[in-house]
Amino acid sequence: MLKKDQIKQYCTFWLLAVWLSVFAIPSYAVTVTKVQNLSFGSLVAGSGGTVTINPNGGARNVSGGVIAIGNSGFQPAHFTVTFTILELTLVSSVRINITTDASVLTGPSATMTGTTYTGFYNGQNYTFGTNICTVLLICGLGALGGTYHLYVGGTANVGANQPAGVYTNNILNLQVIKN
Amino acid sequence: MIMGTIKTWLCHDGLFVAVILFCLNGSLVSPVYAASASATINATILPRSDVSVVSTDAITEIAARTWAQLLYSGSAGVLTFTIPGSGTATGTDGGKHCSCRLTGSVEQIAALVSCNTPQGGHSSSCESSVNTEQLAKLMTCSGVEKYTEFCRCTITGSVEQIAALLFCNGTLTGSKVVSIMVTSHPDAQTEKSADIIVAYN
Repeated sequence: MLKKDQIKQYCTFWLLAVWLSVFAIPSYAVTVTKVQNLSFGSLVAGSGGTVTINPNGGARNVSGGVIAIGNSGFQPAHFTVTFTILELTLVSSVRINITTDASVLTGPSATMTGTTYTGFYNGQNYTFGTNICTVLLICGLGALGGTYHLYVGGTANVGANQPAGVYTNNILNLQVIKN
Repeated sequence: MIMGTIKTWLCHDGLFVAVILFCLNGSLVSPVYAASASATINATILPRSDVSVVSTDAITEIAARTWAQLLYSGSAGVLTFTIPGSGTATGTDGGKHCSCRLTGSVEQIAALVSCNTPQGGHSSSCESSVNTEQLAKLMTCSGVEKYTEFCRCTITGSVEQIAALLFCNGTLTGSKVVSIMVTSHPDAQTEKSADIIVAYN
């Protein structure tokens, strides 16, 4: 027969257990912060081609008839991904995705389609959608928490006689996903 | 006995299990959107139409202005020009583009591209020097066909004048000039001619 104070103790423990479990899912201990936007800079379309921003260092290259104007005004996007202690858990995998609708840049009277993106995470080239951390051995340091830098470059397709204007997309949405 | 074990588990290990769940932090549920952030993307396409517009106006406009005024003109896009003295564009490309050309010896062109010492703070008195190595680098700049959409201007001013206009520090680094490209001229290799494209922001 349980005593009154024992019942009170059980209830307290289980309330605490439920509270901890509920707030553990989903996690709020990973934060992603934008540091800077992605810019391809100024271009002249010419007969069309591509412009590429390298996520590792931010160099710009053009191909085809596209002419790059100026030596500044272009840059990769930059995010910081911060994990708290034990956030890169022992059994989980973590990956980063970019929303697919970021492939279209919209201008005043036309669009630039087929824009693709490349990543440079924690000092290494990164393919979006792949795991950045899968096993304890790799995630070990991450389990101690810390801030990691992710740079996003890309390649935009510039059409022949692409109408002049500023082409933008406001949703280069980065998602950190845990399994 | 069994009840006692359950009671013990409920009392003590329940909290332990909850803590473990907390540490795993969502990893047992798949997938979990842990965090997100967004950035903007942009690319600026400059108006190509400026090429044809400016090519008509430039002859008159440039002829009426000083070197310094030209360098700091408010034109946007790709500006092509005719240096006073040559007076007219030497040709057109499909009716859309003027054609101007820089002519001179290797040494003269080299002098232009290496000129980097404005004298007395006045662009027209810039001192030139020969730098064949730099010239060779510029002359082999690939893809001359890439630039055929743009005006090419024949510059017939003196070496000093042209250098002052295009290549001297203090003028080249003016806020309007953002890119200068020199390529070999496809039709006059023996003359060591070069095309010059000046892009303004």
